[in-house]
Order: sequence, then C-alpha cells, then structure tokens
Amino acid sequence: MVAKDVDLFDKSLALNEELEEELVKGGKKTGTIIVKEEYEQVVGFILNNELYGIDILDVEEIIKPVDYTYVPNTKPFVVGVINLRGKIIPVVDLRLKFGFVAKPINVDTRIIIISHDEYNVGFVVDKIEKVYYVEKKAIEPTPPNIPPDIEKYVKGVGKMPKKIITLLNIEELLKEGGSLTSKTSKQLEVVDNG
Amino acid sequence: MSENMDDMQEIIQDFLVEADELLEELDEDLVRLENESEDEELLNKIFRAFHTIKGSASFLGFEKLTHLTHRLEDVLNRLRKFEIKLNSEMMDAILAGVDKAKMIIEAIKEGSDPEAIDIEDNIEQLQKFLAEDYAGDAGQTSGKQEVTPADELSDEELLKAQEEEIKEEEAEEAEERPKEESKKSKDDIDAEIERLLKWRMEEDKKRRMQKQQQKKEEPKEEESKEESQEQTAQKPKTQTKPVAAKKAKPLIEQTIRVDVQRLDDLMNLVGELVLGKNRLVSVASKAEEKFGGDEIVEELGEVASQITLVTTDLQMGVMKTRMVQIGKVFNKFPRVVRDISRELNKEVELIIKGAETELDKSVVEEINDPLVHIVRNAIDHGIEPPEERKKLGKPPKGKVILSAYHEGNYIVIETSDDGRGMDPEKLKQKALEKGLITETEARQMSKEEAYALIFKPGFSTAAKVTNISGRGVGMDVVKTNVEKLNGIIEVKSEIGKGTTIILKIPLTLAIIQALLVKVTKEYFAIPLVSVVETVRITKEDVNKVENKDVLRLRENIIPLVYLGDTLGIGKNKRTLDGKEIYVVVVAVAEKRIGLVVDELIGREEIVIKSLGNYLTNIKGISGATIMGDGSVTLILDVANVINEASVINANIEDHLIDCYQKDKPVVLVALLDDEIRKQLKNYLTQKGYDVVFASTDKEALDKACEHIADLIIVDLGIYINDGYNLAKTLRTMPAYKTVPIVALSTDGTFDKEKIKESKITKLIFTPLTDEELDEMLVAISKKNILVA
Repeated sequence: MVAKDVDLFDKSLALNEELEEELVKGGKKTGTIIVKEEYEQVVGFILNNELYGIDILDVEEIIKPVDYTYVPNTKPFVVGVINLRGKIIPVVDLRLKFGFVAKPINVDTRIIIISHDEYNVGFVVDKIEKVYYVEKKAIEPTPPNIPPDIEKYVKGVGKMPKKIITLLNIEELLKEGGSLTSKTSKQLEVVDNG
Repeated sequence: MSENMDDMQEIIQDFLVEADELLEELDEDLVRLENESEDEELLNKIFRAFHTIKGSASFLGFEKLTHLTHRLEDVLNRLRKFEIKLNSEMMDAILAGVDKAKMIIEAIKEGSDPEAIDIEDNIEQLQKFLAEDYAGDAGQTSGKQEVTPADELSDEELLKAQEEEIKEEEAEEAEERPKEESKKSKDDIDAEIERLLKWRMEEDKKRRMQKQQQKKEEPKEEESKEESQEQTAQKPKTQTKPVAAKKAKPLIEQTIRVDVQRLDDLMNLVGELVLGKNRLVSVASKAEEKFGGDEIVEELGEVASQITLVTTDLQMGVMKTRMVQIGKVFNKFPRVVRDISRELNKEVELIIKGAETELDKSVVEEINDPLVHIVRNAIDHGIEPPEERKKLGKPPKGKVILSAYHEGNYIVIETSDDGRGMDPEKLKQKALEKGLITETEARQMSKEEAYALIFKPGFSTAAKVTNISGRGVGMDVVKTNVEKLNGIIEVKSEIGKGTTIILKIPLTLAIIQALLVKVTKEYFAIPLVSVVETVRITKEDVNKVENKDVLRLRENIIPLVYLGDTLGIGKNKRTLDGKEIYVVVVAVAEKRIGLVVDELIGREEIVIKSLGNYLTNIKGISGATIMGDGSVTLILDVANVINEASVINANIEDHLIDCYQKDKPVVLVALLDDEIRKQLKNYLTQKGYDVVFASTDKEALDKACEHIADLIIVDLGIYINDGYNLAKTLRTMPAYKTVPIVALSTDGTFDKEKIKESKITKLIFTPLTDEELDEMLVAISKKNILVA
C-alpha cells in the first residue's frame, strides 16, 4: 500500500491517547483530519529500560520467544535461528548487539520479526510497548550522549509529549550481517600456509 | 514500433537457442565424420545444419555469420558430392570455422557487435577447398575404401542413388533460396526451420524405403553391402553409441521448453510439501503413541502413509523434469579429445559409456569443467606417445574411457586411461620439492593419500608447462567444483596400466538424504553423500600421531576430530562416554576424516533451506532444514568442516566424561528467580557442593556438558521449554542417565504424568525450608526414587 492511497483520516488515531492529548495541546480539535504523512508510525519497545522504536512498515509480526537452534560461527549477538511457518529466520539479541548486559528471557520478552528488503530477522527485546505516532517535525538528530557503537544504528530521537523515543535505523542494523567471517578465518589461513 | 522490436528480439532469441544446439551437434558430428568421412547421411546432416544457420543468419542480417556459414556449407556441399575428400587440414579449417561461428553467436548474445569479429582467415582457409583444382583424389577412392567387400554393381548403385538424391536436393534448394529472400519481410523463422526439417524427414524416409526396395530386389548383393555398412557402423557405435541412439528419433520426440525458473519454483514447493509430509508423519506417530488403537488415529496413520507415497512420487517426478542426460556434457568430449591429442601428437580413442545417465541440470552445469581438466590430464600425463606405447607393447592408440552410471542417489562418473599410471613415490617426491608436505608427512602417507596430492593447488608433475596442462591449476578446479557439489573423488592407479578418477556426485541438490547426529546440545545433519561409514569405537581405539588423534580403520589411518571442535562449540564440553564413541567417517573430494559425535540419531530426508541474507557464508554450515517436529536443524558443510579439522588442537580425551576432574560435588541449578537462587546457593555451599546456575534450558544444557553435575535442580517453569522437557533431554545424555534430577515448582502446580515421563527423581515446592532441602538430599542419596 502506498501512503498516498491511504485514507487520510485513520480512525485508529483517535484511540491513541497521547496523540489526542497532543492534538488538544496544539489547539486542534479531536477528530479533525490528520494528515498521515506528517506522522511516523513506529512500534515501541523497551530495551534496557529505554524506549526504542522501529518503523511499523519494517515489522512483520511480534512473537513470543520460541525454541531456537544455535548457529555456530556467528557473532555473539546472534541467538540462533527459528522456524516461522516454514521460513528460517535468524534471531538477534538487541541487548547484546547494543552492548548491554544480557538478560534472561522472562514473561515480557518478545521477538520482533523484521522484514526489510531481502532481510528477515528477529530482534529479541525486553518488552513491547505499543504503536506510537511520532510527528516528523519532532524527530531530532541523534544526541551526542548516545554511545558511539549504538549511534550508527540510530536514525533520530522522536519527542513525544510525555517521553522520548529512540528511532532505529533498520538498514544499518541489518547490513552488517551476523556471520563470523572476518578475522578468524584469515588468521587460520595464514597459520595454514606458514 | 517497440512491439516490432520485441518480436524481432524474440526471433533472435529463438535463433540463438537453435544455433547453439546446431553448433553443439556439429562439433560431435564433425568429429564423427573424421572417422566416417563417407557417411553420406552424416554429411548431409552437417550440410543441413550449416544451411539452416546460414538461412536464419541472413534473414536476421548477421552478415559475417552468413558469409562464414555459407562458405562452410559450400565445402560440405562439395564433400557430400564426393568432389573432394576430407582430410585433417580441411577438418581443422571447418572446426575453426565452427568455432568462429560460435564466437559470433556469443557476441550476439552478449550484445556486442557480431560484425566486429574477423572472419577473413577462416574464409581464406575454406576458400582453398572450393578451388576447382583442389579436387585431387575425389569420391571414388574413398568409396572403394569404404565398401571394400562389396562388389562393383552395388557400388555403382549406391553412387547412383546418391546422385539422384543430391539432384533432388539441389532442385529443392534452388526453389528455396529465392523464396527465403522474398520472405524476409515478416515471417517467423521457426516455421521456416520446421518446414525444412519436416521435408528432410520425409526425404530420409523416402530414401530408406528406396533402399528397402532395392534390398528386396537384389537380396544377394545387398547382403554384402549391409555387412560392410554394419562394419562401418559398428565403429562409431562403440564410440558414440548413445549419440547414435539419441539421434535416431530426435524429430518425433515430444518435448516442451520450460523456463528453468519455473522448475525451480516447483521444486521449492515440493520441498515444502516434503517438510509438511515429514511433520504429518511425526504427528501421526505421536498420536499413535498417545491414543493407540483409536479408529481415527489409525485413519490418520493411513492418510500419512498415503501422503508419504504420493509425495515421494511427486518429488521423483519433479526431479525427473529437471534431469538431463549427461550425454549433453559427454558429447563435447570427442572434440576436446581430438584437439588435445592432435596438439600433443598422441593417438587417443575416446570411449563413452552411459551417456544416457540422467542427472540434475544444476549438477550438469558444474560437472563440465572438472571433466575437461581430468580428460586433459589423462591425455597429457597419462597416455604415452605412440612410439613409447609400442615399445611397452601397448597398442599405439591410447584409450580414454568416459563412463557414467547411477549408484543409489548418486551418479558416478569415471574417467580412465590406459596410460602410464601414477607412482605414489614420485608424487610424494614432487610434493616435497614444492614444499607442499613435510618429510614426516611423506613417510606416513598411504598410496591413496599420495594420489590425493594431485589435487593440491600448485602441484603438477609435468616437467614443463604446456598449453594444455602443467600449471597445477586443473585438478584444483576439479576439487573445488566437486566439493561445491558435495561430491567425492576417488583415484585409482596402477603404474604402467593407467589411472581411473572416479567422481561420485549427488543426483540433486535440493532434497537430500542426511544423517542426523548430536553433539553437545545441538543436532546437525550430515549429507549422506559425504558419509562413508559410521563406526563405534572405544577410547582405546584412538591412536596418536604427532599428538593428533587417529583411528585405524582396516588398512587406513583416519584422522579423528570432535565435531564440536570443528564448529567452535566444543570448548570444555564433556559428552563422550569412553566405552562408546561414535565416529562418522566423512569424505569430500579426495579427503577423508572421522568426526566424533555424541549420538547418531538416524537417517532423514531433508530439504535444504538457506539461512537468509543475514547469515551468509557461515563456516561449517551450508544451510538448514526443518524437521518433522518443526525444529530447525543445521546442515554441515562437510568440506569446510574437514578443512577446519586440520587446525584443531583439541583432543578426543578432552571431551571424555570419565576424565573430568572436580574437587567437590557439583549441583546444576536451572532457575531464573534471584531470591531462590540465593537461598539454594547458601544452603548447598554449606553442604559442600559447588553450585552452577543457568537461567534458561539452553544454558542449562550447555552447563551440563561443561560440568558433570552430581545433582540437578530444575525449575519446572524455566524458559524456553519447561523443566519437564529439560529433564527429558538431560536423561538422553550419557552423563545424566542416572544422576538425580530434582524438580522445583514455584507455583504449586505439577503434572504427574510428565514428571514420570521425564524421570524426575524428586519434586519440591517453594517456599523452600532447610528441612525440605535436607529431605531432598537424603532422598537423592537413595538412587532412582521416583515421586509417585
């Protein structure tokens, strides 16, 4: 669905309390026509007590943790692969990817299945919040206090009336891949030749 | 306008496909012609092929191609009229012309300018044979040679018949040419070719009828002629038997061209279906276990086996649509052999067997290059020059046999020569000189291992680098390609008698048979094509060579390595029972190795799936598959695992359970809750235990492989699969068959059936009191007490 084909007024918006609040604050009446292009719809989730967001168009579905198969010779943040209705999908622990301390699976743990370009990857997150509407005008570039190894994965920070949300750059997150190919194999080759 | 362009493009595409096929056939036909230069049918066929290409090319405006094929056609025309006699110079020129035509076709395909290719040399060469005075020793001499035992009458008759036929053809062609040109406007070239072929077919039929009639009229004379024909026919039969068989009915064959992509899609769907079937079967057997005897369960079982049957048939059917005859590859070889042997001044006869053997299209594409290298090597290094062969009492003409046959789910392709064979000592010497192996390695090497040296990159026994071989690249290519196909290479050789190189390649790449094994907590699928055998040994059978583990298996010494180590998951894992060690002997290309695994699970039909774009080129893993229970199992990249094995320093005994040393008894606690952890830790350390915690079942299994625990406490509600399943899995591990497992229920609930099933020794509830824990320790000291 192309954005332009979409009905400009989305009824589900009316259910979003925060947005309602914001609209009231902005002097607009509720129920007025909202131009969808002005907002970014993101899936909000908690990771290490912070709120992060992923563009809803990149999210295929959200599932509870399932049994996975560990894959050897992958980067440490790759948990393994799962079978999602016949499709094999790698699962990445975002905590480890961002360099946070690992946290065991609990009742709130969820896997967000991402479908972006040719990639299908699942991200393990601490907890799913809900879908947020972030006004595009309110998205600011990455603040300097974000650690450099996470910075490149951040698209910007969205300011909402009550909280702020860190918007992730999916492209950047997926691009690197999860295979361990770089140093070790080359080193071994050198040893082999020597 | 653009539609017209599209139409044109389509016509050109059709032409290219047609021309490719024709040229390919031409190659083999021409080589055949060299031996049977008087086979008029063959001559006519070649003539027709050139004629067809010429016609189409001129219609489409490819001037150079038209010009070139026109000349070729002219030469052939003279040949078939027996005005000139074929000699090797002429054959070279014709073959060169065909090659040039191929180059032009290639250029058209690539979109570069086909007119840019220089054909002057070829035209000049060919022109020579068209000169009136070239005739020299024309038809008659060759005719005599051919039909020696026949008497003159029949000879004359034959010539007459030929002449008549040629006249007829010429008349027809004269009619055709102007038509063709006028037709240039907007006719489909295909129809034109079709018509031409049809006409030829009828023509052939007519001629056959004629001959039969003749036979009836003059049976006596014919007999002798038949005989001679048979004699000449027999020669090519041995050489290109399948080709001849194939040729017999190409025009009646009912075929349909299908886009390969569609077949691939179909294959993928069948793959999914196979997975679904596997799942259905596993559900059915589970239902049988649980509600055995029930009518519906029985029906389910019936349905499952019915579906199994149909799926297998469907799979075979789809696989067959993708199958092509290996003859497609083999047929190029007469030409290859001819070119190489001429260049090297050797006489070589190529014998092709089993060209009708079928295998998957994707495999066929990969097999061509290795075979060319093998054949090249056979002629260059194997077959001796004619004089040397005479001295050795061998026939001056060397023999190269290319044969293919099916063996189970594999195709076996053998290339053997009757040349000088390989001397293992010389090979070792050479490898030593090049620094590819050390002296000790050389000494320990078996004959087979020495042969395997030829596959090392940079290894060549040739004294000097020639055009054909000697750079030491060829066999390396063979190895890489065969590895890519998960195939096996075997080399057999006898000094003075010859060498045979055997390639064993899986028939198809999408759905394969695999051996499931378990190592640490993981399961892996090893493609069955790579598995040579499985053996059970004890730790006493493991020998050492330079601190590396080896196994003596009959007369072979096989390196042994723990599969977990090759995949980087074996560190500190102790899972092997010294009394029962399972070894899977695998082979890829020329290498063999024994992989030590914890358990052999069984054989399974699996569908290879990729791990996706995010996980590419993972060391040791070639893909994944989905099992009947829905879980994902990884497929080993055996070639990679074997390579990895050479750099591993860990030994088998590092993984033996019985070699594990500990000061204190160990308790493994699989539990998430911090409060209870603290309490347990305090209590158990007081009692003299070491405590190891795990927060998920996966972690618990990992820890269970690293520390051999004397007591295990599992939280029944542990993630990801509950404590019952964890206990069940632990019970399958050799180290935990009898170790007490205590289940902890944090919410007061439990399932009695499941507790029994997973052989849990005792059940305790939170909140825990010291008395309860004391009781637990007492209970577990008496082994195998189940909470009833």
